[in-house]
This record gives sequence, structure tokens and C-alpha cells, in this order.
Amino acid sequence: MSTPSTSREAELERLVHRALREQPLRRAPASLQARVLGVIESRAAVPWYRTRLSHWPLAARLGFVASCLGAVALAHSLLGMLSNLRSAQRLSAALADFFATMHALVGASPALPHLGGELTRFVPRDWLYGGLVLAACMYVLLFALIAAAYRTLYASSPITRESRP
Amino acid sequence: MRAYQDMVFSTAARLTANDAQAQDIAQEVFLRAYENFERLRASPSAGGWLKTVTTNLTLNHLTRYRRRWRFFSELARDDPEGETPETTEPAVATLDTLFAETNAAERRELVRQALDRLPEQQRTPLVLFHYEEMPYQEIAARLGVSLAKVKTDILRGRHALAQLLADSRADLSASVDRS
Repeated sequence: MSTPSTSREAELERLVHRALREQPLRRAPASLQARVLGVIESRAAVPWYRTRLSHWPLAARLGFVASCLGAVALAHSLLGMLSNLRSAQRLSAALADFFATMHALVGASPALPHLGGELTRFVPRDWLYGGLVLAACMYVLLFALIAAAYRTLYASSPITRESRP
Repeated sequence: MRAYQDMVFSTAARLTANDAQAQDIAQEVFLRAYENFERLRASPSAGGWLKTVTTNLTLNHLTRYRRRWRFFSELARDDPEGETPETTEPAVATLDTLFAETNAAERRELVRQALDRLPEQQRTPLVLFHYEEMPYQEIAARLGVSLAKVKTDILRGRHALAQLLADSRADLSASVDRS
């Protein structure tokens, strides 16, 4: 059984519904169609390899998938080769070769340590530390600027592109 | 596109109360329709698809802004029923008078202005309920708020709409009297 209060609320709902449903459709701006066509044209001008993967030609998509599968197979075979090194001697020999190569590379570039030594000798220590702190601050500032730009220009865009019906 | 652009724009404009944002949303909707053109071209439900996409995109857009006010509004009010008018009589009387004393064109303009001036937390559920004919439960799920809050916001929205209409008519009468 409805109380007078709920019946008045139902009456209010009915009147509001009637008032709102009387509203005609708003006329879309004349520029809307031109805007949409403009975006479609500009998107059509973008080369296919710069669009989303789902928009690539079928052959390109198949090629991409095949190359991905090839990379996975290559990685798998490399891992298999590593695991097939049966003896520890072979493993240690391989590691020794690797370190020997790295040592040769370091030995071939003696200028870098020399340059470091010269820097520490002639440049005051405070300047060096100050420079390092400044570089760190600049890095943090750059990171903050990029984050702010991302939030402002992309993440706060009125249209959320990731949403799908 | 011509056949649906007013519907798409209206759906977005009613929810956002902002023509520029509604136009951005409408543009995105038609770009997605273009991407699905082959599927939609012969589909009899193309209009429904466009309306659903428009509503989803608009709600998605509003959600970003809603997070801000929801945090503060729910902190500020422990009792969600606290600000609801005690009686429905004045609101009903206002709307009765509106229908009795204005013609359809005047009424449409007054209602459109009043709807645009409603706060977003009342306008959004009100539009979803009365235009999209969504049930309370679905509105609550879509907006990510409680069922009680949706009911309260819609009730308050109706009262606020009636109050805005009464204010607009009073301003109109005053300006007519002065002239």
C-alpha cells in the first residue's frame, strides 16, 4: 500500500520524466562531420606500419607473427645449446672465453680510466660531487616534466581511447 | 552519419552539459563507427550500437572527473538522506504550473537550461534513468556508486530541477514585468 509521500514522489517522477522526454534532440554542430572526415583522412595518410597491428595488411601481420615465432624458436634453441653444455669444464671454458674477450675490450680502451684519473686530479672534488648531484636533479626534473606532460596531454584527454563498448 | 549525429551529440551533451566535450565524444564515436563500418552498414541495430558507444564513452569521460567529487562528497556527508527536501509538494506544484502555464517551446528551453545547470552527480543518474531508461541497479554499477546513493541523487536531482525551473520562471516573469 503506497503512502501519500511515495505517491507524491511517483507523481514528481512522472512529471520530471514528461518534462525531460519532451526535449527534442540537440542539433549537432555543423563542424562535426567535417571534423570526423578530417580525422579519417589524416589517419588514412598514415603509413600502415605506423598504425595499430590490427590495421596492418594481412601479409604484414602474418610476417610479423612468423618473425616473432622465429625469435622465440631462436631463443629456445640458444637456451637448449646452453643447457647442452654437459661438462663443467666446457662451461668454465666458455666463461673464460667470455671474460677474456671482455678483458681485451677493457684493455683496448685505456683512455677512459686515464681520463677519469685526470678529472679527479685537476677538478676539485666538490665540483665533481656537485656535478653528480646536479645531473641527478636534472634527471629527476626531466622525469617529472615528462610525467606531467603525459598526465596533461594524454592521460587527461577527454576521450579515453582504451574504453571499448 | 547525418542520420545519427544529432542523437549521438544529444546523448553526450545531456550527460556532460558541455557542447565542446560532447562534440569530442561524438567525433570519437563516429571514428569507431567508421572502423566497424562493414559490420554496421547492414545492421538494423546500428543506432543502438552508436547510442551504447556514446553512453559508454561519455560515462568513461565523466568517471575521471567524478572520482574527485565523490571522494569529498562522501567524506562530507555521513547521512546520505540528510539534504533531501522533506516534502515533495513544492516540486510537484512547480512542474504542474510549468505544464499549465508555458507552451512546449518555452518549456523545452527552460528544461534544457535547468538540466545543464544541475550538478553532475545529480544530472548523470537523472539522465541515465529518464533518457536511457536504465534501472537504478545498472546506474549504480555503471557509475561505481551504491544503490542508495543513486536513488538519493536522482531524488535530489528531481527536486533541484524543479527548483531551478521555478527560479528560471521567476527571473523570466521579473524581466517581463520590468520591460
